Amino acid sequence: MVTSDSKQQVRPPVSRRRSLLTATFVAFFVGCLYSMWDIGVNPLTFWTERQDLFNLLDRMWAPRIDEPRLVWEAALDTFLMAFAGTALGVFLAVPIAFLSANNVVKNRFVRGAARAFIVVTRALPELILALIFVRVYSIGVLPGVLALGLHSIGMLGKLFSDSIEQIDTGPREGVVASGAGRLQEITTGILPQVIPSFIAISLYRLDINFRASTLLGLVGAGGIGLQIRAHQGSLDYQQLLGVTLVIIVLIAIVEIISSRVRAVILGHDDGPKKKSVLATLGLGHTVEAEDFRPADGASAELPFDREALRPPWNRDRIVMWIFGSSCLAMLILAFTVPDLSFIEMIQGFPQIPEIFNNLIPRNMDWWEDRWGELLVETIQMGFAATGLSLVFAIPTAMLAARNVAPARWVYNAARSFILGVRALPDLIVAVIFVAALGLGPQPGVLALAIGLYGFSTKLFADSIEEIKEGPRDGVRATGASGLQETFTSVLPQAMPAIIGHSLYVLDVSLRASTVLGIVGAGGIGFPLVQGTRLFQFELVGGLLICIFVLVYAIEILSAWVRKQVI
Amino acid sequence: MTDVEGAIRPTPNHADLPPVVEVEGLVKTFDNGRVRALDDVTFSVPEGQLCVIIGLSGSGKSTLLRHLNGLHEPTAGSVTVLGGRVDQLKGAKLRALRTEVGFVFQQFNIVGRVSCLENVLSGALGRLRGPRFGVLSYPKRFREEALAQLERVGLGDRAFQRTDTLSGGQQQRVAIARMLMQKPKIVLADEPVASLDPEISGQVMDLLFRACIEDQITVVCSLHQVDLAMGWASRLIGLQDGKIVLDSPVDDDLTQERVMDVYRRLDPEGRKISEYGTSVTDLS
Ligand SMILES: Nc1ncnc2c1ncn2[C@@H]1O[C@H](COP(=O)(O)OP(=O)(O)OP(=O)(O)O)[C@@H](O)[C@H]1O
Ligand SMILES: [Mg+2]
Repeated sequence: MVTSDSKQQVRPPVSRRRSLLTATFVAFFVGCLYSMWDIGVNPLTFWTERQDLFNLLDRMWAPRIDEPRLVWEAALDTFLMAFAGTALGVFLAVPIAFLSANNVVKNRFVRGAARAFIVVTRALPELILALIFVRVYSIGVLPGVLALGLHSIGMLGKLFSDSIEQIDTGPREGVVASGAGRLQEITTGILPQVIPSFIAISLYRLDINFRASTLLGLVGAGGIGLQIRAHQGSLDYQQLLGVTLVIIVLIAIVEIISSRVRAVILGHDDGPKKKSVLATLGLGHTVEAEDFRPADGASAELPFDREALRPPWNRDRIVMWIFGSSCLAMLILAFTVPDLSFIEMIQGFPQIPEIFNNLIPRNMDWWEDRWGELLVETIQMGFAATGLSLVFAIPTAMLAARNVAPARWVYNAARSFILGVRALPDLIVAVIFVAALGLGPQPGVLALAIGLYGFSTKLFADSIEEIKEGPRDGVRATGASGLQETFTSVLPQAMPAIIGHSLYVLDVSLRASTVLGIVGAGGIGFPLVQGTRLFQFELVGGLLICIFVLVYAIEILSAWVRKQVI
Repeated sequence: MTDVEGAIRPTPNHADLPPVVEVEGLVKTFDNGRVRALDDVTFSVPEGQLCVIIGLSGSGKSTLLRHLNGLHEPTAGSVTVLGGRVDQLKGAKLRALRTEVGFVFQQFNIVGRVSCLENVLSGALGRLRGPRFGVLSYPKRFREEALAQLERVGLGDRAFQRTDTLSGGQQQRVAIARMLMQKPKIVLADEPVASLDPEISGQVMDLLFRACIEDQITVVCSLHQVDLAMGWASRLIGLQDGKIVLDSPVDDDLTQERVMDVYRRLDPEGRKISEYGTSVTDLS
């Protein structure tokens, strides 16, 4: 009965798009596997190297902090550095985001320039920026603030402009129809809609910047990283662990607070709550009798009770005021507690174009063949760490997704576990692994994989929680087992998110690989650091351009794949 | 094709056959007893019967059907399906029973991102061991069987199209093919055509009931449309606020008047008000 014709029918047809996608996936897997093999890591490496790791842990135990006061001050400096950096980033990113939004600016060149600026700032690693700024402003918090601020423009500008482009056109047209000017159109028709997401995005960035700021000290930019560097230098492993634990706890606290505040601001109850943050704050222009004055100039009474014009003090508004005033307070603290001088910062600005000008290579004298090898090693580290982390992340994500986890306690345990792992800054883990396993790409990849594992597990688990329940009911009703149900109804639904996030993990992994060399963990990072130390700015610039090309290529590729798998 | 046509259909004497569904004193409350969705429901369905449940929105139709394959647990009472106590079965035994009970959902509940064939194939999961991902992870024999089922619902040419690119009626037909793939003894259908337009509704109901008659499957189906119900059912059960208010074979004694009574609401004083009107008829 089975003819060759019907044989054909029960296999999915081959299409160009399908084969291209398959080729991309095969390339991705082969890339990960080959890199892991070449560098000499695999999922069992943690097990086979356990002796060295335990030895080091033994030397680290028990954690100690000799000067708690110093550590506390450094921690406060670190947070304020992150805060000021984020504030600077937001301040610079908002106008750029408006310039790059296609529903605000019609001129393609202006928009293109703004986009390019966003892409470039995102590709400049904050650690390298910090290194460069340390050359200009000397050791301290200021280089850190500038590095964080400049690097943040990339992500903030991109996400801000995305949310501007997603606004409802209705309210805006309403404002335009009432005869408003161009600026009024933006402040009344656009701003109220985007401010909640702007705040949420900024808080998210604060969270990221705080993680980054704990490391900036490694290159001399102030904060708690300086202590890590000191203890690493003096081989004082007990204090190294002590300070690391403090950092982990602080990062976890900042993450919890920032996600809570984000939830309050975005209104996580499903109700139709889309109130503008400005209105909640009761800010903006209060209606005065002036506004009601008839054209002939006769004096006018307000047609209603004055009190009714002020929003009532409800819970939302109180929360928003507390949030707003604490932001202001922290900004003031940021310029008073650490030795961060606003004047110095402003005075430094004119030098920045000069610095970047120095970075542009005039010729190819900076190139050495070693750089090519190191760049390849960097790419391999990125792929290897991605592969290693994904092997562990996808199964864990199933346990950490509320709707798929086999039991409530499993979910809670998995979520707490990944929160803990996420709080480990990868460079600090790299410092520790380098101490245990020696210099080279292997400890770097292992450290990076741990960081990416925590990060990607959370992304995967969150998107698995968003899948629709209906198809699961449908498959369950056929008598499928739990595992079958997961593979048949959960995975296909989560697939676009899993692929998209995996590519994002690769992107993050490659960026991170470029700086691991700072702590001796292989890749292009080492010559980058040497280059800034020795004022070889053209070398640094040349290498940065190489990194940029690499990162940008991955970004274009992942944009294409994402479009194919929606 | 059999000679089955709309309401003109041989009505076997079902009462002689053993019941495949038995519900005894079923009570279901939600929100700690504040919502009483089912209130002392008792009935049984003999093999081969085409039983349709009608009632207003919120009368408990979905809740009742979901109890029959263990998607809900009863607050009180018992549910026996094909000789197994659905309310007590757990794990593998419950899944084994579910493979014999097909379910067609109002919202189709298919996986939109995958091909039609893959959705139909998932109906065979109960017959297979281990997880499956992608069409090619199913044995060829199953793929051919699934294609045959798709052809049966008239979608053989759409096997490798993404399911969410089909129209609503076509998606429900894929869901019906998935259910047929399961080779069930009983089919539970929860308002299978409520989200389709009247024309398509008729076609889909036709397909569903024809296939079930052909494969000798017992049907328990909830419906909004009284005309469709009267056209296909061999028995009507009317639900009102979780209670059975009508249970009758579809014959000449079952007047339109009696059926429409199910669609009346009770106001707090116990008087009946018609669904759309505001006039109150005093019952006393
Ligand atoms: N998960 C639940 N939690 C709380 N209440 C529920 C739940 N499921 C159903 N109910 C309530 O039980 C009652 C019966 O609901 P059910 O969905 O069974 O009605 P229905 O007859 O299927 O209505 P429809 O025709 O709109 O589908 C309703 O009052 C509903 O609000
Ligand atoms: Mg229902």
